[in-house]
Amino acid sequence: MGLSAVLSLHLGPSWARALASRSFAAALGLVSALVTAPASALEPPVADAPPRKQPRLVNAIPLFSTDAPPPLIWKWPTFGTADYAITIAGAAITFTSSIVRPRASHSLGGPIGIDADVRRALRADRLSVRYDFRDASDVGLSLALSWPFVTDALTTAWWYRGSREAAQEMALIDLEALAITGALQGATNVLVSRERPFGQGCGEGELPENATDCTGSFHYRSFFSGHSAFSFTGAALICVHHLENELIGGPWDALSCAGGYAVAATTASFRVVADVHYASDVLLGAAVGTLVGYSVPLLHYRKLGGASRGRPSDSAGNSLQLRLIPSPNGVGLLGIF
Amino acid sequence: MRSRALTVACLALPLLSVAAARAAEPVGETFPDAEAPLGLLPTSTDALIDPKMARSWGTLPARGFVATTVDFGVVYVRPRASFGYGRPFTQWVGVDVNALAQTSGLGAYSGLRLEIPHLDLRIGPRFFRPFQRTYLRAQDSYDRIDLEREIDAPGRTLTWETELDLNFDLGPGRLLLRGSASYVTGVPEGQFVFEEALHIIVDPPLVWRTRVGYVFSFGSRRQHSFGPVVDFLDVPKRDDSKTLRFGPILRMALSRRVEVRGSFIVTVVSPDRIGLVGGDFTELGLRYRWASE
Repeated sequence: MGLSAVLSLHLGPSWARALASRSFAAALGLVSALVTAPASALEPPVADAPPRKQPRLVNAIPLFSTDAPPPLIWKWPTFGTADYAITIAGAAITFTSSIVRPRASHSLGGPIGIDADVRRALRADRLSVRYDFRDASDVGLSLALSWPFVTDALTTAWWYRGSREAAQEMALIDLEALAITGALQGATNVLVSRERPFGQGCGEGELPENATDCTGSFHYRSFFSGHSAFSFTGAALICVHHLENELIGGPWDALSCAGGYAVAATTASFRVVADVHYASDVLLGAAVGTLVGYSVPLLHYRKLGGASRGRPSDSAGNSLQLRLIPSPNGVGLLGIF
Repeated sequence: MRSRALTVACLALPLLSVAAARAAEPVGETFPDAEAPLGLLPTSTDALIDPKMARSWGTLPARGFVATTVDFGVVYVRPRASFGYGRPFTQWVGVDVNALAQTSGLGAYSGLRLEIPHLDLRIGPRFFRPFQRTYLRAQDSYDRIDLEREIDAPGRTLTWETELDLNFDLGPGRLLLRGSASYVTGVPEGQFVFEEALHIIVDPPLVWRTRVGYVFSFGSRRQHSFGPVVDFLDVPKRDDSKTLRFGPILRMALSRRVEVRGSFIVTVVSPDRIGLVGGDFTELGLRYRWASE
């Protein structure tokens, strides 16, 4: 046990202000705090668990191999009550923040850093083309969100590898990660209330004043990009599930991971081309998405937060350990490196 | 008298088609006793073939039942409840009740349904209330910004729909045919509206759609399918309004309850330029089914 660090995070009205002003740092703490709780002590060790039912015979995909692959066995603890609570809370915050209008006063407005240069370089000239790119980014988002559930969990883990349990656990982990991403992104969106790049052009040129982009709450939801955050969460989930479970084996797992990131990066950059986000919005979205997309499944796979229960070769000494602990001001996060 | 005869014929069709349904079972497959206890709640078994159910919900005797189908994806939810007599999802007659929640608005549908092997017919009204899209001023052609402007009140519609699906085994796959007619009401005189089920701008009241497709079947019981479809739509009151769409559809039956479904149908020919909004673009999504047993 080397270096120890404690990050305290107030829960209550002040957490929202913390998100607004120091959103990234607070996000790190919140994510870790939320996902560490189930990792710490709620699940029994796998070694003590009753033997699991063997999965059924599997299907072969001729593209990859004419032989049926070995059945997939879920070796890690299953989704716990605390995970369900986190997922439901995250989904509720995500849903609520999609309805609540962004604050009337704006914590951030206009371009910062490289935003103006990137916008000049990438923004499509015509409004109709910008809408096309916006549509294309919706397709990218949809793929990035659907893929971990539909292709990896259901089709690959369940149908191809014959493990309904693994499919269910993977899908639940995916839900938890996306709910946390959604909560962070939605709350930040509402609190920061940054005007979108096209906002200053409302009522001028191609964009009429009565365009729904200008009249609705969409106008002030620039910071940070949900498309970017969700796509990168999806990409990270694809990577972790494939690499940890060796879902389709060989180079195909690495290619799936690379494909997920290609879709996520394309989706995020299209948001800048479509002029609905600044570069800083999509970059922060990518960072938050990647962080949540990796940390949540890795905590479940026990790569973070304690000794691996599924793989004896992973010792506690090699891993980052995170613990949720009570503190005088709320909940604290203990990290052991 | 004629309508009564028609009703009797509709009710009799599901019962007469039992032989056809049995004949569709995989060759050489032996089934356990089909006298499974019929219950209301889901069983824990959710294989493609439930040993107690013999062959999904389709083999046991016809009975009154309650069934649900929930489609969800990014970002829509369409829960449906069905109340009918026959074999759920296979051959039955009854009533469908749908809710619809998607990013563009909320809606609901209810109607009569008749499903027998190779044929699926439904008829009923659908109400939709968009969050932002309003009624549209009449014009020859629309682009995306015309659709995304607040010109009038939200474009609420009550659409009377009838849709007939046919499918036939043909070679290594299935031939799919669909015809639908919609009668759109609730639109102020002289205005158009974006019809959210068909994704087309309508000068009310009528809009037609036909679909032709061919899907290749694969899987140990040919339970999966993938292939191209072509949609043709027309709004009789709009001049030169013919719309052509093309794209693939996918269906993977993972168990008798869970299916992966997707359609990626984009507009090829249209008087309007409204992007992917004008396509039938239900990307990868899930269908969960349940029926009382």
